[in-house]
Formats: sequence, C-alpha cells, structure tokens
Amino acid sequence: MINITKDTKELRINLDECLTAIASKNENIVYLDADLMSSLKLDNFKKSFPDRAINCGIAEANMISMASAMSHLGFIPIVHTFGIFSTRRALDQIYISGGYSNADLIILGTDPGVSATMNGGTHMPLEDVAIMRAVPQTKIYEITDANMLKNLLPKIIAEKGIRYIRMPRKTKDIIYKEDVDFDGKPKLIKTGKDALIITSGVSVKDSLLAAEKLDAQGLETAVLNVYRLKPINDNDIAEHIKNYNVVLTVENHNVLGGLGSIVSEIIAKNGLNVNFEIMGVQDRFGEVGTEDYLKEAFKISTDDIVDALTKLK
Amino acid sequence: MNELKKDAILIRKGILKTLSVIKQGHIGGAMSMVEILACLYGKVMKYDPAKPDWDGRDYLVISKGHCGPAIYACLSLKGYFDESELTTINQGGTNLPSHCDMNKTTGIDMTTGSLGQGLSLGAGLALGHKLKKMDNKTFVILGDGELNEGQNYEAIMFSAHNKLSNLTAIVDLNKKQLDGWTKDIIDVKDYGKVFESFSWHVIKVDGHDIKQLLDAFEEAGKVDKPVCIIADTVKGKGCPFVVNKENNHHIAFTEEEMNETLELLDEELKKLS
Repeated sequence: MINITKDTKELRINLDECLTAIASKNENIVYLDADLMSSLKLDNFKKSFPDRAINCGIAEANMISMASAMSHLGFIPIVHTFGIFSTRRALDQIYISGGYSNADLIILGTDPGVSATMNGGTHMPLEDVAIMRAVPQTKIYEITDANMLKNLLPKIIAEKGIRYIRMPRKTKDIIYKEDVDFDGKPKLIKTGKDALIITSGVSVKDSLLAAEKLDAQGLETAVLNVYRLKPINDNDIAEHIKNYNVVLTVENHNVLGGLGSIVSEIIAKNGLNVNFEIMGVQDRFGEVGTEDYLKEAFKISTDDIVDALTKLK
Repeated sequence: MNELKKDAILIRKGILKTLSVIKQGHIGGAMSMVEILACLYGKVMKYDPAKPDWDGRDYLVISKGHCGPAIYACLSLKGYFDESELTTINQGGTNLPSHCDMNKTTGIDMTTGSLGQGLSLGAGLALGHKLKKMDNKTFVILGDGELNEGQNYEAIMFSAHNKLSNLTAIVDLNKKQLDGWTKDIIDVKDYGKVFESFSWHVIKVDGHDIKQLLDAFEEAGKVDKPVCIIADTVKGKGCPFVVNKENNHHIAFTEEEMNETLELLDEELKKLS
C-alpha cells in the first residue's frame, strides 16, 4: 500500500534548513550561485553565513572553475544553478577545472525535465544525467523527496570528487518515511510479482500511481527507485530484474544516456531475459507547460506508464 | 638583477633540454614568458621547494597551460625536482605532461590546458584566501591569444567586483597565436584598455625587462584591486630559430638549431658572470 503525502514545505526550503545545519558545523562549506539565489531560496544559509554565499553573476563557467580552485584550498563548494546551466553550459569547466584536477565539487542542478514548467525548452534539463555520466568518476544523485534529501545530503557532502545532485525545487511530495536510510542502493518501494518499474525523481510518484492502477487490473507491479545513478552496482539492480519477465524504466530525461540506458546495459551485460521498454523523453527538445501537460507531451504520465506495461506484459 | 637575468637564461636552456627529447613543442610561448617566471620565482613569490604544499605559499596558475616546459625548467632550477626529470616530458607515465597538471608535477599549483579557465582558477584561489583571511597572493599567466576565450571576461568582472587585490594577472603579450598574428585573427588593439575598463589596475611593461617587471610586481602589491601586468614580449625570445619562423606556436626543430641556440645562451651567461 503506497502512501504519498504532502510536506508543508517545498524541497528547496528543506534544502536550506538541512544545508544551514551542516554548514554551522563545517566552516569549509561555501555556496556559489550564478544569479539564481532567489530561485533556490537558501535564505537561512545566506543570513547565517553571508561571506560563504557567493553570487558569481550569470557566469557559470567562471563559477565552476572558481569553485574547483577553492576546493583545492580545502573548501567544500556547493554550486547551484538550473540543471542545464550547471552541467551543459559549463561542461568543460566541470571536466577539466573540476574532475581532471581532482577537485571536490557538489553541483546542484535544479528543475530537471518537466519541473522546469513555464521556463520551457531553454531551461529544461533532459540530458544532464547523460552528460554527467560521461565525466569520469562522477557521482550522480536524483532526489525523490525531502526525507531522502535530509538523509542523503550529509553523506553526499562527506564524499569526494564531482557530485551532481538533480532535484526539483518546489515539490512537496513525500514518498519516504522520515527514518529511511539511503546507502546508495536502489529502494524497492512497492512490491508486486508481475512487473517491475525502475524509476527516479519526479517519475517515482507517477510510477507508484500507475502501479496501483495496474494492481487493480490484475498486473501486480513493483517499483524500484534508483536514486543514485552513478556509481551503479549492476547486481543491486540485476537481482530485482531477475524476478520479473516484464520491466519498464521511467525517467524524466532523454531516453538516451539516462536511467533507461543504465538498466539496458545491466540487462545486456548480465544476459537477462526480460520484456523491456524504456520510457522517457523521446530524443526531443522541451517546451513550456504545466508539469501535467509536459508529462503528457513527453508520454511519461501515469496513464502512459499503465499503457506501456499493459502492452509489454 | 644579474641573478634573475641568469635565471632567465638557465630557464631557456632548461626548456631546450626538456624539448630536446621530442624535438618539438610549444616553444614560442614557453620562451616568451621566461623573464616573467624568473622574476616570480627569483624575487616576487613566497614558496618553499622543500614544502611544495605549504599553505602559506603564493600560487601561480599557468593559464596558457601548453607552456608547461617553461615552468618545468623553472621549477627544476629552483629545486622542486631534479633537472634529469625534464627529459621525461610527454613520455608515457611522466610527471611532466606538455600541459600543466597539479596532480602530477611537484610545484604546479593548478591544472590547466583548456584555455580560458586559468583566470577563474586564480580568482577562486584569491577569493578562497580572502575568505580564510590569509595573505597569500595568486598570480596567473595568461596568453594574449587565450584572451579570445569568453570565460576570461567572466573572471575579470568577478575579480574586479570582489576587489581581489591578492590577484595579479600577467598577460604574455607575444602577439601570436596558433594560426598566426593575433592582430589578423582577433584584433584587440589594447588589452590594457580592456582590463582598465573592467576596473582592473593595469601596468604595461617590456616583458623581457627584469627591472620593469619587478617594478610592476612591486606596484601591484600596493593596489587595492586586481592588477593586470601587460608584458610585451617576443614569441620565441632568445631562440633565433623560433623567432625567425613566421608560425612558431608549436614547431619541430633540429639538433643543430638547438645547439646553436644553446651556444648563444652560454655566451650570454658568460657575459653576466
């Protein structure tokens, strides 16, 4: 039985509280933004540590290189802008100033895919996971809800290297209970013996709703949340896939290079025999609209998931 | 002053020694920045070759990262590593890749090679030291061709706005880039005016004149904003076989050409002794 509830606070407010608490015990944490501080609303952080909240202006390349250099002085930089700008726009800086020099950076990319809504196709990260996967030794997380964020953030900050966190700013959806611990391994958040949905981020909720509908139709559907997209231990996912004949990945991202690609590689490498489909944004650009409109336009809505699994079974 | 002039000659000899094993390289831009390095490591910067990771040191970013051989020759001269290591350049597994790598080479403070990122790295170091209330200085050597890259101007704006007076950029104005004269590719007539218009303090010098360079660095230390020293240089300076070539960004050379130059450098060295 799934239980999706609503938080009283947006995810970004939870981020502010959580990061401020961590930074009060760690003076090396600095927050750099490229003129989107008001969008991320880390007001407590800014108030508590005015010197450690650095607005770099609309200059992402400079921000990533500066943050990389600061990490070599012992700082722990948390760098934010919308996901397209924090990855695609500054990719060579992430690759060379960052990864190649062994810098320790936490890159926050907000408004993934459909959550970019009214900002539309120019502001809609649909390829950020694919891009960041291709940078050696990166770690990639896609945050599902506030409870996951609060549990994972201190652990991510304690890690080394380039860490990319993909998350919406405004969601209030709560999927997980407060006491759930996240160790990087995927979470089976709903059981079901007939089919498996593997998903992440905002698509977790839609997958759960779809699984409930499918259960009612007699197709008992499980949902696996892969929230750490890199590194991946093949067995952590393969051991679930082995139990099913029908597997569908659902992602708020281009079908090329994201979760679907990750799972495809695992299926192929491990010789798993399943009916498999990748659901996601079909190699197209974004557009404006509400989240619901965009999910329909990209064919990643709850109904699309139900249809896809019905056909696949 | 004489010592620094000698250092410059020894660095030029070191560059030739370094590249002697591969008989090619970015020798033009390496030679043009030699006096800048001689001054930084002879008089200007705080550093300790015995403690390359000393957190009280001044930092140098070679933003024109392809000129690794120049800084390698300088670092070995100052005792960071043995001169014999120079000839391992670009050999598999070497600590001396053609482009600067902080994780491979003792004494290299930042990894560079993708042009346009060095001034941002320098700004990050300067900002970091300011936040830590430490008095380390950061120097960044930029190529004039490299200033085609737009990221430089992001760093220039940020550094000026944040009054990073602990940051000094030195433009190695050798007036050539890979495809030829900078004036024929992107003609920026006066980089001094560019930096000045972004509220940097600008000092123009002959980049091969030790006294002018030292005076500029002294002036830079007294200014309450980031400083840009425009060092007018000659690409390939000190190597006739490089200077005399029209396209001298990355060139191959012969043993004879190298030996002729080494003789000239030895003669200059004798005159100074």
